[in-house]
Amino acid sequence: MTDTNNTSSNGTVIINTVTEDVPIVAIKDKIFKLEIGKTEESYRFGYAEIDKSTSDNPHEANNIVRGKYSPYLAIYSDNSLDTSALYNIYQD
Amino acid sequence: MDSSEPFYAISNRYNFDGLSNDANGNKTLVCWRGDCYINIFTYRLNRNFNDPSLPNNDQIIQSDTWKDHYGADSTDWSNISRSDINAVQLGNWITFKVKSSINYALRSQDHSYVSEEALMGAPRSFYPRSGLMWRGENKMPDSYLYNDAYRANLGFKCYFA
Repeated sequence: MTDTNNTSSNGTVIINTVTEDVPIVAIKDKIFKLEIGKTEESYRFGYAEIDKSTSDNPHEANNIVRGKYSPYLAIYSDNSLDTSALYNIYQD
Repeated sequence: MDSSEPFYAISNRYNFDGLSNDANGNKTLVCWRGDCYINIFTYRLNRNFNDPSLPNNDQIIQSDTWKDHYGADSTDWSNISRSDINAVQLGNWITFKVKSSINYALRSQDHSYVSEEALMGAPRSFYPRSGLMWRGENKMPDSYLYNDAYRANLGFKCYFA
């Protein structure tokens, strides 16, 4: 599903669904996942921004994310998109 | 207008001169048919994992297990208590307005996951039907039964004006 509305100043926007049964979705160089870490392994996780654990005090890593996320739309655009804006999505 | 039929705009208002031309040089505007609902919709963003041994547990025994054994270069990770990490109550919800062909106000609890419901003690549900649920027995996906039995799919037919 691709939005190619030429009236948009943002050009082509690629949209894909990230659902529970798909472990990973990649659009060009961007990766989208629903599951951060693993259920069976307590030490696997991700970071919301940067890895503070590489600093002098490893216990500063307070930006850890872990768990399962609900399905969402992965949106990729070469240009930045406005946040809190309303977008029309048409299916070809 | 003489007509007594209800009418409403099916597109935004555009300047006629700004419309694009088709192959025959006619001004073209694509207008889609179907219902459009304006919904205030709340969606759960995340939840913690269901531990393989204790799927619905949210009681933490060793609250410092991560702090004591975590480290970027550590080989001590095996001492992190997995069940305690998976027991942390997590939940974020977002509420936003959406225009859609689906009426999200007509939503149902999902009883079709029988074994999961037997294990967790509740069917898949949603906000506001069951409140904001971050406890262990609510570590399962939201119900995605939207507009069940009411949704009318009119296909992809469109009108050209």
